[in-house]
Amino acid sequence: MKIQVGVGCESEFAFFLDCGADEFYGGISDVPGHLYGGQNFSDEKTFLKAVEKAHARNKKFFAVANEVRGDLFESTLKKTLYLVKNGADGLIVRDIALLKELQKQNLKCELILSSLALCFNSGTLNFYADLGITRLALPEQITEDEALSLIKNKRRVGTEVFLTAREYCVVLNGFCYLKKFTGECICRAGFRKGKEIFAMPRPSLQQHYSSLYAFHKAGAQFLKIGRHPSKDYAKIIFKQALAVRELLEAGLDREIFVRKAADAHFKFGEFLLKWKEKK
Amino acid sequence: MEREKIERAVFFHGSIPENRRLIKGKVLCLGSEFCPALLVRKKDIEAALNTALSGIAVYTSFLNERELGEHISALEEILKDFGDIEVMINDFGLLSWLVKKFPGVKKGIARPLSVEFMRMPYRQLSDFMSKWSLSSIETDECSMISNFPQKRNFNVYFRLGPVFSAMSRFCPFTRKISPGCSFQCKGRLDKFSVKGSRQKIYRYEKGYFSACEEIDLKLKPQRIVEDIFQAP
Repeated sequence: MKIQVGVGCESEFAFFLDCGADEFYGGISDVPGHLYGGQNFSDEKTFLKAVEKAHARNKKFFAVANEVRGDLFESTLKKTLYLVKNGADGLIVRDIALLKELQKQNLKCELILSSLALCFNSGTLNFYADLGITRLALPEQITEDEALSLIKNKRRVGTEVFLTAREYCVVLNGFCYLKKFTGECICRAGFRKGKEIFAMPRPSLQQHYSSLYAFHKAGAQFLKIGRHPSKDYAKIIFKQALAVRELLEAGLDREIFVRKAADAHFKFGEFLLKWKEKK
Repeated sequence: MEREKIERAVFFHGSIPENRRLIKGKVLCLGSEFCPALLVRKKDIEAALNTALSGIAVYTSFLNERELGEHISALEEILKDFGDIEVMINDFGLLSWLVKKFPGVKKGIARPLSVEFMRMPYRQLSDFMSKWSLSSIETDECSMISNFPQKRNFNVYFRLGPVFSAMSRFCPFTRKISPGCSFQCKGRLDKFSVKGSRQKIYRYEKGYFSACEEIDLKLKPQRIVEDIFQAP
């Protein structure tokens, strides 16, 4: 299983390139992309320099364009075409209009359907495959039963999966407008009604790892790490991802894998706590 | 000049009220944009037809493989006898099937998928709607309607109700994604306080919402769909 890391700048990219990440993705500041914390490359030039360095080590680097902005459509199309024609290995997209226009260009690149798209069945996968997607980033909220038919699809669409034990949106992140309430993310907050406090349900740690085990066994090829506001935080998560990958590839049975992965999760959790205390 | 009449629709969450005057002359909306378990069956359509409706719209959510199969079975049964039902979709797998199997059926894009579509550039959206024989798009964001020209080749429906803010895959009552509930959500609209905000957050089915927006009729939606919550 390859590890794909989201990066926000040259120094972050250089670090993960030296640490052995297999693939990269990043955004550019004026190309609409979903960014929760983290940062974008300031311009295409800086981005493409990083792409060149990735290629020198036989690694791939994708550009993010996974938000739908009709007012920026023409500039987004122009920039994404420019990026691909000048070296980017592909794009992470979701906008059907953009996919349609890219398809007309007959580009030879990866078109990765963003995890923000609502792709939960093979009929929908076929719909997007007809629009040219070559890979699918599984939605964070997909269950292992649901993912099977997508991972084992007949359209030769590769699959990526987030390390959801660390990166998980409680609601569908592609359709989340909860920030309108306080300016911050509130999906993990409790909401009060009289004496009742309601917290949105989410999977347990064991369920996250059990699903990851199933995704890997079914054939998901890429483990994704998202972009983070702090490079130090991202480094700890990356190291955890390396440890999890090692466990996945050790041929363990599910129960043992989940137990060991959860142990590793808590160990890295301690590193994260120490990092927070130092901040 | 004759004023264009805006069609009215009602979306009953829970039971259809006994006072059918509330529905008379309106489009009746059934189903759910947020929960695949709230699947409309043929018997629901038959029960609804005992009223002087102007039409029926069946709303569907995005679906996993099993749910897609269930929806296809249910809709096949409905549409072979009731071909003028409108189907509002969130799932491209379902859309693909409808276009192949029932090409003449009236179809539209519902929330939350329409949130994305309302942000697409008009020309590309219009091409997509034509290609897939989609005749409508529904939004609760009144201001977004002004992104489209007044003379457009698809209808815009305005949803007069709680404004979509997020949705979860988890049922807030069973606290699971998987099926097997007792439909505790039917007819319920719960209101909660949010720490640090004056706004309340509303919850129904698997969706989370903010308060209803006012409508600007100058933006000329072709239909206004009103949510009514009535516990069974």
